[in-house]
Amino acid sequence: MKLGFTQADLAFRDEVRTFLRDHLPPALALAEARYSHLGREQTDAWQQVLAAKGWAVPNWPAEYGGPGWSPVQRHLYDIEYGRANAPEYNIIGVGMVGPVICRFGSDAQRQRYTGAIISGELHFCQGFSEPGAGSDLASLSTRAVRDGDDYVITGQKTWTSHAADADYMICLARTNWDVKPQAGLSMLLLPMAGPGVTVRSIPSIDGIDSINEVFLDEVRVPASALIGEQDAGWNYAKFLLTTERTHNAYLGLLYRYLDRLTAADAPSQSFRNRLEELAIDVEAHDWSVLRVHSQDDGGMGAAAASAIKVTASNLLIRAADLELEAMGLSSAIESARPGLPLPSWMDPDAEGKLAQSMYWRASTIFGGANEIQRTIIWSTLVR
Amino acid sequence: MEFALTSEQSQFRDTIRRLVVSMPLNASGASGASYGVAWKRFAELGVPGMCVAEDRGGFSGNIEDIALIAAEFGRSPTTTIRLETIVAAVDLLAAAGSVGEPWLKRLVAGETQPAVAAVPWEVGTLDLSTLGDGYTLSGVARSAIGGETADVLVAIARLSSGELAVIAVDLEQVGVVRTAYRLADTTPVADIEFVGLGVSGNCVARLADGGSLVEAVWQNATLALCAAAVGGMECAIELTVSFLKERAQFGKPLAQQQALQHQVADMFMRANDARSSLYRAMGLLSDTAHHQRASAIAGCRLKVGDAAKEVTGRALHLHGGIGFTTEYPVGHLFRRATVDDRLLVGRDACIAIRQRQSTAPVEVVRDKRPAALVA
Repeated sequence: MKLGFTQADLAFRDEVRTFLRDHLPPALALAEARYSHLGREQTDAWQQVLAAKGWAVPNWPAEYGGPGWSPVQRHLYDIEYGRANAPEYNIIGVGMVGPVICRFGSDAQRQRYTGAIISGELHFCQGFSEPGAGSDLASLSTRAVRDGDDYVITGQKTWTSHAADADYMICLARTNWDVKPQAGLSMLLLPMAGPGVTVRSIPSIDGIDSINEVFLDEVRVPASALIGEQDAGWNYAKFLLTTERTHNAYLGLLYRYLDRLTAADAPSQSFRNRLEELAIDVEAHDWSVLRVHSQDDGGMGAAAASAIKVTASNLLIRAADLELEAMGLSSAIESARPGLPLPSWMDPDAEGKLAQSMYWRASTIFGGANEIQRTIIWSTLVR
Repeated sequence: MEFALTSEQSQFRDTIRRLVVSMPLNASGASGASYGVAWKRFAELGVPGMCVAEDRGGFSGNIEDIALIAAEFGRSPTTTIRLETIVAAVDLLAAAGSVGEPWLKRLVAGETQPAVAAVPWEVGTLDLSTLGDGYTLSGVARSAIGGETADVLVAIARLSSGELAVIAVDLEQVGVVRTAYRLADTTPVADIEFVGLGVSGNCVARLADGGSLVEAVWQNATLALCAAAVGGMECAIELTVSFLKERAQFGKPLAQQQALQHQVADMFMRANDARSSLYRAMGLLSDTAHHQRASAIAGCRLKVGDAAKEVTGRALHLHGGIGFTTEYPVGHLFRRATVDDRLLVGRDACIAIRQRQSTAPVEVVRDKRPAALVA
């Protein structure tokens, strides 16, 4: 054991900081600071800047286009990136589809998709949840039936973020009814523009309507759209959800909140003290994430990844609540949708903050509800 | 950054763990004498020497090694030796130049057992006045850990000029009054009182920069205490998981109740983040940015302190009645977390340090009996 950052680590952090300061467009940073879920039309140009630098897919293996960073470098990058108000982009493509294809995909799939994800050409959404299959994901009923050289997919997906923005869905569908539920699922890449796909936006309490229903009516995809083996989709989904849990650490965003709240005029000493306790908890979370990246797990890797997801969601809610408190009445105004009337006295910085705080309420649900994570933690402990 | 233990580190940890486990459960009858016996065994193993840097004749002095030992002590429901006492003694002696050197040598050799006050930087408790070539010492070192059996008190005293000094006072001399008692986790302590005791100049090292010594002591001792608390939490979780698997109610093991499973998951999350907070504070210890280091340690102290009470308290709850008995170790872990919370730096002091309202924990004696009772 030898803890602490090396001079090289700190030099790397400075390099990232300088690059972001010199290249991130201020207007983009401002939009991101208001509400951190920008569309691809806002982020594509920026993604290309990162791609040119070789930093577009920091979580990928180097042989498929990742930067080849050490766990510590990856970690420092995530924090600096969020702190600089740099936006996330193509979360499903970069965060999930890429790693799954690199690990389990065919050469043809790697050829087709990895470069296109890095360049921003292709965006993805995730087709997992269904009206009847939420936490009990393995009970899903969307069917993929083999028909000659094709699969024909029918069913309904829901709570699908980015569906309107996506070129492809990474879809979990049932291909086998004769085995236990987990053993009959397959993972397929399904084009959103093809016939049989209907996307309907769901009005949501964050005021942004970021979620959708997706209806799949005999959508025909070639057999080459299958990832890995037929009926092995659950394994890939588990791999992907573990990746997602560390992806959902939200360190950059948490430090962004701390930076903003520390710079703001604190309404009281009580507020300052609560902010200090939040900072202490974020710093601890920070190193929990670093330990997972560094695989300091002592056999507790799955538990530690789940713990990160739960902690991050709770910290985001606390941080967002503190921010609303600091902004007073301005933060209670419905301001997320463009074109709404706003009072003249409204703090312009409050715009989008309520929507953002509402969105974090979803973070205890998505990526495996926090109770699912607690069950995973328990099973790891009791093993 | 390397989180994995080296093979030497894990060997050493295993040795300490074996010795800790072999100590008898003595929850109700721990005495100063049993502390002395335990001390001898750890001293033979070279534990005090591990807290001393190699260039001062010790075996390590690395914070990683110290934390490793402390965590094992913290796991133990029987060992009342607190590594933070040794760490504080070492820092004080090392700052005391020729006054500290002979004691430091004896400490490494396992030939002395020092006592250190529960809050070593407590201001206004020990006063020095110059008298000829030497000094007179008055006041009391409160709740000095291991004080009943110690042969030397290592402390910070104040001269009438306000200057701070490290004192190393031989306790086996006439004029030293010890009042022995126990803390609630059975740690044997003593108030060590002096009434105008004459001490020679070679027991007193005046400090050019007392402030930075206080800073080093509170920071290093706090890390050792936090490491022990992290060990205690992990032990509490292991005990709880085994208990829930064995104990049956409603015709099935408690381990099958989701309401209980999720409480254990919460305990894991608290303990895991506490460990991360400790690692962060250790990782930033050599950071040259002064405030960054103090802030990380104060944050760690607050985080670990809160988590230790919550995790051991939850373990107590999940054990039901058995946890409340002194026969079973989990109650001891809870008592220890409660006592820990009163030692070294308090919660408010941690916040103040982080908010730059102070650079070191200023502890004022506030537990004095009302004047009427004293009379």
